[in-house]
Amino acid sequence: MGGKEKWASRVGLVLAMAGNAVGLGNFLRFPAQAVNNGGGAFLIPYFVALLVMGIPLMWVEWSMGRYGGQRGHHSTPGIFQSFSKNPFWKYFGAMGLWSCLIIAAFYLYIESWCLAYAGYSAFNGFSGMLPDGVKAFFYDMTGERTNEIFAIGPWGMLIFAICVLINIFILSKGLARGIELVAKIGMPLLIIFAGLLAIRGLFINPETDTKAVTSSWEGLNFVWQPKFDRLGDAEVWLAAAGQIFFTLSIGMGSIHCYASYLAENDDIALTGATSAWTNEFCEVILGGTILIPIAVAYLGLEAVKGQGGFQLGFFVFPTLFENWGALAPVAGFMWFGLLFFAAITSSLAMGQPIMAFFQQEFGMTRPKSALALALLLLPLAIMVAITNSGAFFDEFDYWAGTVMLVVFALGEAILFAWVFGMNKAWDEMNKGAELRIPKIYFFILKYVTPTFLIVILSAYAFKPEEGWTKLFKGETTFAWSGDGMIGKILHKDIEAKIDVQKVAMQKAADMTDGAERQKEVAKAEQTIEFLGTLKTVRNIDRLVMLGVFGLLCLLIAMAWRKRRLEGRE
Amino acid sequence: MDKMTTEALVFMLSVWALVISATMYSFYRLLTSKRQIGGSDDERE
Repeated sequence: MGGKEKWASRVGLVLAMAGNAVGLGNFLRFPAQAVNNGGGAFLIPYFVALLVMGIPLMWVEWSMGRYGGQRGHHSTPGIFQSFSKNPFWKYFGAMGLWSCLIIAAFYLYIESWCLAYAGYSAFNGFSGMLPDGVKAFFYDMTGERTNEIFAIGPWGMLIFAICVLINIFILSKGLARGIELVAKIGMPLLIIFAGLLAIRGLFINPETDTKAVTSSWEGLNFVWQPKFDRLGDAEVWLAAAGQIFFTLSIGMGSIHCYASYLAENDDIALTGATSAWTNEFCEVILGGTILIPIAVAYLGLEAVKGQGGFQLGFFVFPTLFENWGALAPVAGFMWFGLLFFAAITSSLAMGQPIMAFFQQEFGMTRPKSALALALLLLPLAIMVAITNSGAFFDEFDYWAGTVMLVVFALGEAILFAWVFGMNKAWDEMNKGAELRIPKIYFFILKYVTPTFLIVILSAYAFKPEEGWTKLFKGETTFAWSGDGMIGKILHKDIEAKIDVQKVAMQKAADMTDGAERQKEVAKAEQTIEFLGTLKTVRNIDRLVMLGVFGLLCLLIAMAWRKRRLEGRE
Repeated sequence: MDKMTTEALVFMLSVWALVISATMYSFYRLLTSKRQIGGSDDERE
């Protein structure tokens, strides 16, 4: 049991932390968010959220991790407990393990799609395909069919299993020889691939490329044209704050875990800032220059408007690279390869806290803790892989990947700034700092960040159907939105879809053609039946998520009982 | 580049300048620093 688990180098740590932050959202979600929320003007609330919430919370998580690590804790239950004797905090810290586990269950699935697409692109598999063909390839891989709850795609499952095994294998190799090594290889490759695609993309022009309908700079203009009137829209500010959460991987427990392997006087201010700015470079510059500009150049602005980042990235992009001739397989491989590297460096960060928990609390070796992680993860991952994406996938994404990040961040901000005390917290943040943290952050961390988080959480919880802006302007009355927390609990999103089908049935009833009427009515009935089943599956899913949280709390209770018996507490 | 409005171009270049400067400054400080990182407790092999 000897030896020291530690990072091999500071650059390695920065790349691992940046790899944790840089994910699929940087390349698929950010550009779509920007064009839908005011273009260049979106960057104003985005940077405000980064400065008053993202960066301070990132420093909080680094500080908490380093502080907990000095007291022998590498996962959030123990790290949080080291800040307060109140047992509540270790159970609150369970959320850090829970989020990592639930998010990993669906994130690994997407990661496996990137792996499959990268391999298929490299062998020129998408040659001659239209977007519908790529879509068919995707649905064949995932096994998803309209109005069917179960979605089993045998070869998609095989690649998923391979992907899980790759992650478990890397994690079992340890911090320096596993995670750090992958980050040192993966992150530079990701940046090189993205840089090459972005530069090649900027040269697309109808004068030199007969397949292009316009210059890619028109797409860049679409991303960056500031629409300042959107700044008065509450939804734009919420979208920007949400993007900051996703992009920095805060509120999950993975930053705490990585930082817990630092020594007491290691710098966190500069190292943390470097990883955050590396992430911003990948998101704002690389992420903003690939997806939309290339898509606009070949499809035209109107065809791209309203399309989501995922649709463009997975269904349309493989066909667009065909226009690059002999470079098509290389470009496809680079695009999905960079997405794969972005995903794997993030998924490893989700696995490490859970493994650290088993190692620390139950004395497991690395291989054994990797096996324990696999045993916890597999049932959840299988549920995601064999059901319709509207079931486990969407629910896991919503509750663990969106809502709980904010809840967790609010809890840690309160624990650090108010329970531990802002003066002690400030000293902890500045210990060994190689970068002077501006004094204004004392005030921001104590008051602004928690307030910002409470506002975001309330906006999520009580989200109205027509959005906050219309409600504030008095243009609509209040009704729960299917995207809001309470609306989601009440299945308002599914009910809205059922209402649409009922209207379709009524319309079909007026049809004169009997056969057509019967067909439309049957289709609507089938969809309503599916949506009813989906509601039940989502309720089961919520019970599963509660069950997993309960199991983690039980493990924490057992671990602390063990600690007491061993005289470690 | 002629497909971009001046407003969008100025906005994009300003944001790029900010992000690249912050990233390069952070890396410059990090790579020129003589300090290395330490380690922590037991690894269970």
